[in-house]
Amino acid sequence: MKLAHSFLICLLFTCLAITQAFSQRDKLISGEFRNQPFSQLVRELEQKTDYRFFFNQASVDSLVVTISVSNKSVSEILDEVFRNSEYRYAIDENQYVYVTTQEPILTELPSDFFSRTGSASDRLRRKTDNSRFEDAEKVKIEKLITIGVRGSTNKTTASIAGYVRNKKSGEPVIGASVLIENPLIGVATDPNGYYSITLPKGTHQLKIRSMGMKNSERNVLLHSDGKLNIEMDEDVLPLKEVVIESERDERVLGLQMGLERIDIKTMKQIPVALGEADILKAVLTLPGVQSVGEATVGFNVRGGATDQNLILFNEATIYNPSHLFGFFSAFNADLIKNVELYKSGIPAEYGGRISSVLDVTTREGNKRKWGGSGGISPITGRFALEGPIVKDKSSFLIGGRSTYSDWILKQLSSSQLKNSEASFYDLNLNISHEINSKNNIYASGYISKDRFKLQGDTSYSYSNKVISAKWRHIFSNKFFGVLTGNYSGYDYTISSENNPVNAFDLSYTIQQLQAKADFSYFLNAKHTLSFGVSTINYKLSPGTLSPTGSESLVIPDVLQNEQALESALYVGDNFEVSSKLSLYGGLRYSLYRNYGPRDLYVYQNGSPKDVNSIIDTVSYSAGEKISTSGGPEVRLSARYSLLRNTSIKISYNRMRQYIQMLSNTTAISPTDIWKLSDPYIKPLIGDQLSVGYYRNSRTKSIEVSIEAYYKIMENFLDYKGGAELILNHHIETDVLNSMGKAYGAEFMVKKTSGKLNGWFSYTYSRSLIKTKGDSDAETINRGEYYPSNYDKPHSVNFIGNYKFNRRFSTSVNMVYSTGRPITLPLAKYSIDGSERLLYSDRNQYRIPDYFRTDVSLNIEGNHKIRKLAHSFWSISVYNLTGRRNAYSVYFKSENGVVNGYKLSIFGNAIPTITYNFKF
Amino acid sequence: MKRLAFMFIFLSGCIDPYAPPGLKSSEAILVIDGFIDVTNESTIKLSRSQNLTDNNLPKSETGATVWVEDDNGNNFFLSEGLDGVYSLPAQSFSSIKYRLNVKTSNSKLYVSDFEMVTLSPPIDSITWSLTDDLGVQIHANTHDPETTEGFYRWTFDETWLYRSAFSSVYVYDFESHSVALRADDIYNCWRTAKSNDLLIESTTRLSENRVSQYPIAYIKQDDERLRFKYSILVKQYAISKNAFNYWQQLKKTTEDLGTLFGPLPSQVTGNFKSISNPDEPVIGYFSIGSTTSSRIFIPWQQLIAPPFYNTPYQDCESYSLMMQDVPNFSGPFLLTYGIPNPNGPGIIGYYYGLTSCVDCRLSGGVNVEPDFWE
Repeated sequence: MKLAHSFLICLLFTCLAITQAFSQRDKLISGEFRNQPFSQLVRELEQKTDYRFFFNQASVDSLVVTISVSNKSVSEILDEVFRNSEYRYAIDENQYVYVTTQEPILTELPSDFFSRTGSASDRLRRKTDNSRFEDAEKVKIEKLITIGVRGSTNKTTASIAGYVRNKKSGEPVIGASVLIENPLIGVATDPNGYYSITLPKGTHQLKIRSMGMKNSERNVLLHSDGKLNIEMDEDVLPLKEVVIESERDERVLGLQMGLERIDIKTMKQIPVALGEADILKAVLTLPGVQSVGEATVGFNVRGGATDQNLILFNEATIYNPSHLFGFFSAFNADLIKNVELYKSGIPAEYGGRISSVLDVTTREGNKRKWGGSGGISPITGRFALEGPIVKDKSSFLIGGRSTYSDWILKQLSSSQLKNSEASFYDLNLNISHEINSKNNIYASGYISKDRFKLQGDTSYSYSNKVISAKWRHIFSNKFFGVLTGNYSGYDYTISSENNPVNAFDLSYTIQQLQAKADFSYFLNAKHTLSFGVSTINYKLSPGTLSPTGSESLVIPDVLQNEQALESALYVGDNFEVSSKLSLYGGLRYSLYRNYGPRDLYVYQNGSPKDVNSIIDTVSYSAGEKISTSGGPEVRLSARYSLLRNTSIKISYNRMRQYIQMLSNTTAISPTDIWKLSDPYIKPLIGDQLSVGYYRNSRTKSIEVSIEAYYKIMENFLDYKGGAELILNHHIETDVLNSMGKAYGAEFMVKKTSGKLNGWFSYTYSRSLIKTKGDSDAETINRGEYYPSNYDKPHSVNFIGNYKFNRRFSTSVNMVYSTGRPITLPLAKYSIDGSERLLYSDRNQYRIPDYFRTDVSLNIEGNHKIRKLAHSFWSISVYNLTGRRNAYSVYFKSENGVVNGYKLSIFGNAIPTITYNFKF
Repeated sequence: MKRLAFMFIFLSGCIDPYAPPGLKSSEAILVIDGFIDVTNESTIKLSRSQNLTDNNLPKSETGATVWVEDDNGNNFFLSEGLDGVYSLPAQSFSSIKYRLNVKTSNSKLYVSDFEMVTLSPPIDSITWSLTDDLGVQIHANTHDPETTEGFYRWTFDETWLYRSAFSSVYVYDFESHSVALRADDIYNCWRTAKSNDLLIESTTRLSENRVSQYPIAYIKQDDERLRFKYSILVKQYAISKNAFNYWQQLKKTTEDLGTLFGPLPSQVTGNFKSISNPDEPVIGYFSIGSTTSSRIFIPWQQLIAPPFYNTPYQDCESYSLMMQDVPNFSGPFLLTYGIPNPNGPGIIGYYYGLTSCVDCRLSGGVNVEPDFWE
């Protein structure tokens, strides 16, 4: 029955098409094609006639045309070409030609389509007709969009630019690929959802792909430069593994190497302790990223120190990305849109840190309707609210997070813990406004605060404050600019009030003001230029000690403020040499100026810097130059495609860093201080060369990549044994200039789609330091290379997600790494009746290897699109095997006897259940 | 910072004993431990470092020549005593700076830097208070209007009275198998211990050179030391800045480790150098100066008694020995007191207990009341 219908319809439509075709007054064509692709024929026909062709490129890929025609009409040619093939075509009244396989397209409604009369058999036929029309409709949705004015330019190419937005929320879709397949030209949308693509004139099918969005296509007829805004539908099934669909080609086809992108959905699947999706914990699962231990937020990228990562939150620097001694990251995952980590091939627009850039971008609020989300876990609670201020024009997003750990501590019976306090909160506010199609403004604010006090003794608090504003202006289709201004502040206070005579407050502050302008110019299909200028003014109050209470005898002690200006100018060019080769060349010139008011000690030449070698003090007045440094930073990348699915890449970059963190503890501690470069503390310079090989499997769902790198770090800071870093008026006497080098290789296999997905990575990496000063006191381990605190040669990560159905999914995370280096005692001795320890050379031993398995089960509520709130349960077990991984191994003199201990942060399996909701 | 570790216990973190696999043994390094007291007899102890797994006492360095030298070249030679201890009777030290020379029996010479004589101000007071958990916290207070240095170090000797589980009235003579009244007291003992932790403080950040309520020691409520009478003699040293740095380093690298934000351990260098071989390490810090001291007593009457004291006698039991069994009495036991005759005068036997429960001297103390005891 069904077959019969099809046959009937087929017959009917073929007839219709033919009659239609013949009714055209045809221009006659002559020409010869020999083994030409069908698209070549189409191009020819489109040039010679007013006909416009529409077809699925993939379906005509294999069609090769050999034909010789003289004075034939288009339809005659097509009849000839498609004879005995599965291809069909149809031509409508606009002279649009639709090429399909199996069945041609109906180009107009049957004449009786809307009539209510007719026989039963007619109605039956109409019914079937109708069903055919739905298909026809589908094609028509992808209707041809004409861009520009025909014949307005003589150039062979034109550009299309515009925003890609989420249809539901109006938010920009970041990192969406906008591409055509033949020839392969593609661009990705920027953090504002903006894209600009230069294409040959003519018709194209633009494909738009993005994570979490339904695939979308637009048929365009490009005459000259024009605008095209695209709205994408959200994929409403977040548990369906939509992730990385768009990125899967990027690893092979994109020029950028060493870039890891994590979207919030991937992040939420990774099981974490204490039930909060955590950006930094997710980052730590990536190859090449290490940390010294759990519960430390500082991370080490490819053998660099924790302060060598530029952590940007809506483009403003974050100095302390942690909460609660590092158990949580300072970013509220509910508000985050995108996280990008650049490990190598860092583009010229970034500078100021030598190891990596972690770019965290928050979402914009929903411009169409109100919404909210939140979550409750055993330790924290969070909530976010968003909505339009002016519909489709401006929106806001506000989010907050806090902990009730204080309350938990109070419930404990131990008196030691009862007197302890630990609390944190963070707040975010984002506002975005579209002034008009060419101007957008964004503003965001962020504040985080931590406070803890253990056993009622000393209390610690620290806070990040960030305000940023951004104006984005589109000059033309090919040229836009972003003007950004932001403020980043970080401060901490230590206070002790127990003993009134010694009661004090010790505070530390960093204030950073930044202004920058970034421009992108899509010169033509082959060149995309980016350039810009930025300047940062730093002001540091490196320590203020003040007495508290009237009885306190503490003498106020204020370290001198430090001021500096770091400016940079950059230009970069993305050059698509051919479809096989693309190059990126960037140059950043950074200039640093350290200025007064400040008094600087002068040390005797040739002798080690210590208090005894101070010979003079030089005073600099306000604004007076103390020292300058700077220089070019070269950034180069190249990609060469070996095969369709395989590419190799190479990159080199030099980075300069003018502010360093001083810490002689293993992990980032809340009392670590940042120090600006000055005549004694030279800026860090990092050079990295990396090469990579990337391959996608045929089905593209398996990606394999290998990257290797070699890195040199100059003017790396190390510390004299037992250096005093807090309230030190002459910090230069306690630090040592070192050389660092790091090298390694990262191997990763990633399955990006299917019920089972995830990745496996193995990393070999070494990170070594050499400190050879002029004197013994300035030399460590006799001036030989020794492993840094975070040198972990072997590391294996496995993340697997399995989706049982749309409501249940499970994830496993396994981590193995070599234990980190430590300095162990080699001998003991007795002084004054107590045993003390004699230590080995620095970092000559390692703590036991690290191994951990986490699992989680995610349960979604039902998938009705319309309901009051979507809820989501997450049950996870951190450290499933309960292995007591060593955080540190140490020896202590207790009651006169030396004992060895191993400290583990998580000694058991930690189950957590979290409830999340969204409305 | 130290207490962060507790946070992790709450978060199910834990601390386990750990013995690293096969640490390389290094050669035994000379350790020079000593302080020259300008007002009293002084001792310098020479020993060698030992492997971590070596549980013997450190090897003493004997046969060395040890002398104190002032900046004018005047020498004061120490005389060798037992176990590598070299001593010097009280002298008049009139110079400002001194250094210590050690020449070992294999003719290697080790010399310290010159150190200034530092005189300790008197201890203002040693105070104690009950903590929230009813333990005892002992504090030191001092001030010094004279010197500007403001670096202090304390050590203490604590002495406490304790009693064995049972008083021994009778003594059994294993040769004659007879019982006599015990002449000596093995029930009351005094035990003395030295401080182990490094106690140092600096007042350089204060507007006055004043130390207020420096925590010297903490004793838990159920500690045996508080059961009868406790006494502490706190000894105060004023030290140089360099000496303070040395002790602070030593403290950081041997006591303050093991926390989340704990410092990285490192080698601590003292003020001795090997003249014979500049690359040879030598351990120790030479200081010279005077000390001051102060003693307090804490009797049980001033404390709040816990339900139980934590003593080595908790498992002690008393057994009965009837008169007819006296000749056959044997084993590691001591008689305590008599079993009274329920029907008349006299005793019908003896109670006895394990020697370790009866003789207090076996628990580390002496049964001679110290001179200072009151």
